[in-house]
Amino acid sequence: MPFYVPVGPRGLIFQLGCWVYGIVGTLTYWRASRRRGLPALRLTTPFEFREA
Amino acid sequence: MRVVVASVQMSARLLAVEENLERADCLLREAHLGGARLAVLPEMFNTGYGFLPDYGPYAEGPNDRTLTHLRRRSQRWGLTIIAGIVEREDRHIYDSLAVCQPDGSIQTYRKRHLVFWERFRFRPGRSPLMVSTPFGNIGLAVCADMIYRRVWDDYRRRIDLAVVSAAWPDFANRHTGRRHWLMGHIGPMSAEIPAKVAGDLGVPVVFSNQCGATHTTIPLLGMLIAENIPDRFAGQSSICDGRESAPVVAGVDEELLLATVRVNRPQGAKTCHFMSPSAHAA
Repeated sequence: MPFYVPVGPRGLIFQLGCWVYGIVGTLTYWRASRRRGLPALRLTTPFEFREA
Repeated sequence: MRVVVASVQMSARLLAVEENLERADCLLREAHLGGARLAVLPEMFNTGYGFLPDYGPYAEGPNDRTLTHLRRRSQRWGLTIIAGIVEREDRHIYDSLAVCQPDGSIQTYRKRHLVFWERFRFRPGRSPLMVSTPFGNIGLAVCADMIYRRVWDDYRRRIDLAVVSAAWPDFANRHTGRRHWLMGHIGPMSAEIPAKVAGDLGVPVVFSNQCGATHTTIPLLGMLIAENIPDRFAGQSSICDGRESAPVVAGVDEELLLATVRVNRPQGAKTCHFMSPSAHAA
């Protein structure tokens, strides 16, 4: 995918890394999201701000 | 049309949500007192930005505390607030940008170009988002989105103002100053890209970045072997008018930028395309 700004030859390594981690990361994320289908932990601590 | 806009540059301590919300609240109050009609907070301003085993417990929906609070502030102060949060929808979590408008509506843009460890923790967004406001249509981008041409081509001639919210690191060791071999030249670009976009698209750009110390994690072999740089966020948030005046640029510490920009709304009706899933809160 073309860059908006010139990133030099190192941009190719960056792009290749993004492509590889796009695949590996998607698999890792997918496994984690399946676990997350269980009832979620939520932050429910009440928190009040002072009014202006 | 002239509009006062604010870019909030703040540090956000990792997982100290209440502390971060309080700090942001003080800066938003300052923006409101300074006459701002639009205020932008950095990416993940409430949770902080850094590699974590799971952001799930800290992800929020439109009715959870961060957005409930920002919606109240937006309605009370007549201030459009754009803030980076970790968003949850069902089992998925996103690195998102929420737009809270004074009419009580909330819409979210999901970061499309996830980099490094983000691919392991978030689901990428699929489409751009243009939000209609009383002072024009706003196009949104999060951090690394802004280095991709496609993002700005999608917004070209369709927006009146662009907003970028980021947690953009310096990619340099904060103790020695030594730049990272691969990404070291990317750090300083945080100050250059918003100005380039403003000139190229001919619209004002509001760029809000985090500041302060961080650890940048670059995966080398999955997440099993990763490089950790004792880094800092680049700061240098900016407000670029695009045509009339020089950009207003922050330093590397906490700061609130306020500036008046000229937004040229075209005459007559303008079509808005809401292409991203949006969360409309009551």
